[in-house]
Amino acid sequence: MWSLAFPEKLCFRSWSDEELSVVYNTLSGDTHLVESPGLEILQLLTESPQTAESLASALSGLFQDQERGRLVQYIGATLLRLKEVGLITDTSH
Amino acid sequence: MSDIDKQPEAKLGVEQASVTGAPLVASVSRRRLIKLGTTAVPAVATLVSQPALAWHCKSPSAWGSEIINPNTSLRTNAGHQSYPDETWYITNWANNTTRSGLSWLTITPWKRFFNLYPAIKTAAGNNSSNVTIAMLGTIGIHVAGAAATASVRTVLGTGAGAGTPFQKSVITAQLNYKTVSGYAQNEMEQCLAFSNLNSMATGSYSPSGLGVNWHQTEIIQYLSENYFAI
Repeated sequence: MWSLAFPEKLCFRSWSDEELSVVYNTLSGDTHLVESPGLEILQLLTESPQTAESLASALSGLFQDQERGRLVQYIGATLLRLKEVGLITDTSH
Repeated sequence: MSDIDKQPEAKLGVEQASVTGAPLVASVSRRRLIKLGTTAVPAVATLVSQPALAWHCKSPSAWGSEIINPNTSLRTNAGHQSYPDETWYITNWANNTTRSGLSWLTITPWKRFFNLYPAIKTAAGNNSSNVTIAMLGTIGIHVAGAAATASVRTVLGTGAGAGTPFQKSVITAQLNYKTVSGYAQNEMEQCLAFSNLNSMATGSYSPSGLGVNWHQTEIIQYLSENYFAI
């Protein structure tokens, strides 16, 4: 189960082409560059904690190829990237 | 990462971010569909990293060595980084209150706890007063001598059913570790592992290399002086 590390302290800003967004963490002072669907994942986690599977279901419309297994794997890899920079946390431990 | 290379001026000034209660969220009206199999995972990178104040703690061995022999370089904190402490107090956990004057620890501890542990939130009916010692056990928090059905906040409090100073200290230290360790403002894990706190919670702990055994008094002192549980 994944959740935002500090949901009240993240600020988001997108460029006009909406492929890339910037996330500013007011706690750490870090600024992160996030590419779609990373931003969409953060948006969904703002609402509630999610699993990779539930995120894949919610975001399937962003993908041409919606083969379930590959989609979940892709979402899972994205979640790990977001965790590496400290934006999200895995609460399953 | 090629998109980042193409945008060397992607570094934004902080003043461009609107700091409000609710984050700005990009619209999702878009864009070309992502093709799995030909697309690498999306770029996620840190553009600007600000040095942040972490907190101040020493490993049990380092702290214990200084206690045994005050005339060491440890007394001057040589080789140790010192930052303001950044954890919740025992009273914060008991009363679900925030700490004033901190730059970032501005939410209540139990709100943070429930964000991280939704299963316990559900089991407790979204009421921190209903979180029991047994529920903490499901995430590895140990405390000797406390009834499994006891309310954690009651044990941490000062009224009927309050726990011993030792119990309050080890519960608070483990709760802080589970909720704020691993972030730039709090590097508790640099001083000790969570398993060390579990060992301390038994009431007997032997810091590595010192040849001594700590009991409740020493453990409370260590946790207090290193800002794990004040």
